[in-house]
Amino acid sequence: MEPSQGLPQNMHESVLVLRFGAEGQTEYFWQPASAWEQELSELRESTASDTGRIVLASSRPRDCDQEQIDCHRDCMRRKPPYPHGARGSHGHIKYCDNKCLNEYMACLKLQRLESLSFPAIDRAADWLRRHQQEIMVGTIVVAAGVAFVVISAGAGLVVLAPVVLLT
Amino acid sequence: MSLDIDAACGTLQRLQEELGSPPGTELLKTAALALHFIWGSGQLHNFEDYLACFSQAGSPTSFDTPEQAEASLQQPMDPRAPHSVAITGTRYSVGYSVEHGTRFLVRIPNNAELTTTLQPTAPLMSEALAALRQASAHVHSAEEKETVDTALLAIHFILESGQSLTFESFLARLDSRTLPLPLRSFGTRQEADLWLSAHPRPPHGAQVEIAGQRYSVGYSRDSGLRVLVRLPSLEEMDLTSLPEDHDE
Repeated sequence: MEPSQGLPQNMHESVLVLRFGAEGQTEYFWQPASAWEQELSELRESTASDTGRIVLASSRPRDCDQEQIDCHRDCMRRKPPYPHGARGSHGHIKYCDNKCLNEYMACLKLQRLESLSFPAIDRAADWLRRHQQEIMVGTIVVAAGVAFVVISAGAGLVVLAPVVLLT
Repeated sequence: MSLDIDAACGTLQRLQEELGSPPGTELLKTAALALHFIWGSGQLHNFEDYLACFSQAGSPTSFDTPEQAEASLQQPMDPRAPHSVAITGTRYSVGYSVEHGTRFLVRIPNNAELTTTLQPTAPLMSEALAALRQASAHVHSAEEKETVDTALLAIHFILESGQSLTFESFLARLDSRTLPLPLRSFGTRQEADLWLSAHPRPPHGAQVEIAGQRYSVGYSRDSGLRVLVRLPSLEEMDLTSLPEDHDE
């Protein structure tokens, strides 16, 4: 499979528009980025003020189970913060159980995001059609070796911009 | 909405210091622990839905009798969204029992009750409520005000959902060296998975036991993700025993 499959020459000035029909049909086409300047600048602003919004996936998969064990190990060695009891107490254990469960759920969520990587545009388009409800503005999708960010997600339409357009 | 409990506890700690009180009588600490109790007993989503009743302008489905309202709880509902009903003018939020996910009603107090009530049956809780009202005079920002209000409603939620005694035993055990009690015990992972998948809204944050090992129940209401995550043993945490508090 060609890594550049389906990518236009002027990709860094283009966004990818995916349109989903009611019967499961999918079409996608490229549009000049200038047509989506408002969405792009909104996302640029929100990522400037809130760095947590866009999460660039690392190439190495995370081991959430190991991270969970490490979390408990670190948490149980430290005195818990207010208002929890003494070290090694019931309150301390409950605190660590809660804290590490939160981190575990966050890790699983990111792992799902990291799996949004597709060899070609049409594979990405198919996955996005089936997961329209979950797609949010700011979600990163890797397709045909290029990192895209979702700049608009609405009924039957998802717009992806190459991440470079946001920098 | 989601609740940042650590941030809320930080605010309550600061307010407690500002109010000042002899050790052992820190009433805002009870309020901070109420938030943790709700979280760790699998009631977080029930509490979030209860809170939503105070910010939602929309009118709940109205019923003339409690029986009609109870019957309505048998109908299918989306567990991801908060639901509320009104029975002859009194509002209730819909919760899910942690054990089986049976729906139940939690009464929403009216504004007068929120500012004046004293609960003579639960002295600890009424003292915490009084301390929170006192603390609201010391807040410095809208966020701090929201934290105090949320803590106040956490106490009301515990009272209205009939968990006062469970909360008090949680407070009594807090400094003991005992492991938290599991919500349910299962013989096999398969039985636990069956329970988890049949639950309409798994009690995120609760613990269960499977073949003698502790597990946390995880549930994301956004993605619908359900997990049982095994809690590490002392050996896996490189501990030979629970740590002692000798560094103070």
